[in-house]
Formats: sequence, structure tokens, C-alpha cells
Amino acid sequence: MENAIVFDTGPVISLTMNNLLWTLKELKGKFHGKFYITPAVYNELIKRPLETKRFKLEAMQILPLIATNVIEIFEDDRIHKKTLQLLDIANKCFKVRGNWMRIVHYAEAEAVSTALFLGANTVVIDERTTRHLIEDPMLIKRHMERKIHEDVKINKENLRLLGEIFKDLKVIRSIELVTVSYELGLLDRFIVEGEKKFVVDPKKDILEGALWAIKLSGCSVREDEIKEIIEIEAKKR
Amino acid sequence: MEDKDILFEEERKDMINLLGEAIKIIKKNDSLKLGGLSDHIIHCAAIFQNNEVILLAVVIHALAKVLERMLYLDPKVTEILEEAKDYLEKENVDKYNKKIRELLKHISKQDKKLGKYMEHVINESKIKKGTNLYEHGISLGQSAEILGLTRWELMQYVGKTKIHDKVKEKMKLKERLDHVRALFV
Repeated sequence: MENAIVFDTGPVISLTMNNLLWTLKELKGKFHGKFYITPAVYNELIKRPLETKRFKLEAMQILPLIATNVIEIFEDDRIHKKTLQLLDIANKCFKVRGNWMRIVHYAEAEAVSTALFLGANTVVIDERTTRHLIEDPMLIKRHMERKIHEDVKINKENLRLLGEIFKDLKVIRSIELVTVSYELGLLDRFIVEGEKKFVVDPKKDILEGALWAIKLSGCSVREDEIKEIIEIEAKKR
Repeated sequence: MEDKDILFEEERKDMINLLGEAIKIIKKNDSLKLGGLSDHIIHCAAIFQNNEVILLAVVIHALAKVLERMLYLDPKVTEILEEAKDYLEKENVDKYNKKIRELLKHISKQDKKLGKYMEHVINESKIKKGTNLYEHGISLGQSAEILGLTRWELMQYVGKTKIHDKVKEKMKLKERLDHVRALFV
């Protein structure tokens, strides 16, 4: 069992798009373990953008973190088989009109499988479906029924299996990483003397700005959760 | 295998109906209804995740955008759609696909300005439909894969929508925060 956190593609994108990728290096220093991505996540984050013009610069901003081992690529031949097994279970949980709904992608499943393989209890995922599959799959069924307007049948055995597989796994999002970065004082680097001439409460504004930026970049966090974080942090001050 | 044949038949029949509906709407120059039809197609796309259904949703959305801008569509558009529908009725999926590609080329070729605009519209349509799939409960990675997009593109758009505000969850924010705090003591 290794002290490790495995990242899906989304959280790294959210941090990159908001110039907060550097916080990972600082967080890693406090973690006493490894930060991993998987080969499929590497393809989405770096390889594919490097083949195009759009997001090439963003990919090049992530690469130094990989080159300096802040984030490492974890590869093990046994994970591919485990990922396919997980995909087979996850993508046969919900049925509509006799058709299994393929809800999860290989890269997402590989990130989760890697965390399970390493015995890591934390995986960072910003998108909602995989997170719900780990935390509360019935949310997916209810949500689908509301959107598709059709009866969604569940595979009780596969949902039971998933519950067992994921029982010790916690999902966190980039929004929590940014909040804790703020609590650790990492975002204070944006606050300099003299700012109060321009804004009343720079510390509050930097937190609010960072949280909203992460949400607007696609992290699955609700507006009321952002308000809750701001309230929690205000009470602490 | 038997299951798949039945499904294909169901998809094909759905698509024939949807094409018929699209032709009727285009003849009435109703861009709003055409956009609504594209949203409906995405329900089928979420279920079947079949290339033909997905491309149809993108094409109909793009046509709705062009119609919104031009206020009418060249009669050749409905002609090609009729032919595509005929091929689907005759179970000739290859020729149906060729017709849909011909349709995209035809619109782009109408004038140079529209050609550039179409490129933009098609990409926007893909992002919009990918976001719709995600909204239906398909993961972001899977939605991006189905539409041939990157997660970078899709995340930026999803973040600007209200999708994430709509679902209440079991796990409390405080619980998640406590877990993260414990990781970085």
C-alpha cells in the first residue's frame, strides 16, 4: 500500500486553466507521498494537445511538473486488465431500452483502477459521473431518468460489486485542493501591501475568485458549496 | 448478437422518424424547433452512442444555427436529407453516411463566408452536444470521446453552464474538506 493520490484529467485541467498548477508542488511537499496520473490521463493532458495548436501552451505548462516528478506517471501492466474489468462492471449498471449505458471512459476508469491497485484511498476527479458512480450511483439513475424521460433499469449485482470495490475510496475535487491551498496560506502570494487601497478584503476576494474560476473551468461543484466554503473560511478569520 | 440486431433496428427507425421530422421543420424555416429536435436526438445518442445518431444530432444542431442566421435553408438541404432518409429506409447505412457528409459539404460550399462559419458552427455543435451527453449522465471523458473532442474543450463549456448546480449529493462538502485537510497536514 502506497501513500499516493491519483489524479484524473479534469482537476489538472482546472488548475492549469487558472494558473494554479504551481499549488500542486507546494501540496506535494506537505503530502509525504506520490502524486500520480495514468498513461491515458497523460494522453489527454499532454500528448493530444501537443499534436494540436489549441491547448498546446497549457500542456507545456504541465510537462515541467511531470519532468520534475511532482506528478509521476504510474504504469503497471496489470492495471489495464483491471481497468477493463472495472469498465465492464461500470458500463453495465444502467439499462435503457434494453441497452447498457456506457457512462465511463477508459481514462477515468484507469485513474480509479490505479488508485485501487495502489491501495490509495484518494482519487481526484472533477467530473460528476465517475464521482457519483463511486459515491452514490443511484444519483446517476435518477438523473438519467429525469433527462432521458425513460425508465432506467439497474443491475443490482453490479452496483453491489461497485459498492464493495469503492468502499474505502474517497473522491476529492480541485475545489477542495484550492480551498486547502488557501487555508495553508499558499494563495497569499497574490496579496501584497497596498492592495487594500483597491479592494476592501483581498484575502476574501482571492478565495472567492479562485473558487469561482475553478467552477467555471468545469469542476463539478455547486454554487451553494462555494458559498459554504466562503462562510467556513470567514468564520475562521 | 440478437440483442444488437434488435437495437440497430430500433435506432434506424428512430433516425428515420427524426429525419422526417427535421425535413418538415426545415421546410417551415423554424430554427427554434430544429434546435429542439437536435436536443431530442441527443437522448437517443446517450442511449445508443452510435456514430450515426451522434453525427445526426450535430448536423441538425448546426443546421438550426445556420437557419437562425440565414433565415432559410437552400432547398437542396431538404433534398439531400430526403435521400439520406431513403437510404436509411433501405438499410443502406454507408450511403446514408455519404449523404450526410455531402450535406455538410454542400452547406459549406454555398459561399466562402458560410464555409468558415460552418467550420465554427460544427465545432460549436459538437461541444454543445457533448455537454448535453454529460448532462444526461455520461461522463465527461466518454462524452468527449463520442464527439471526437478533447476534455480541455468540453470542460471549458461545461463550466459555463448550470449543469453542476442541479444535483444535490450525499457526501457533504465538510466531510470532503476534512479528508483533504488530513492529507496535507
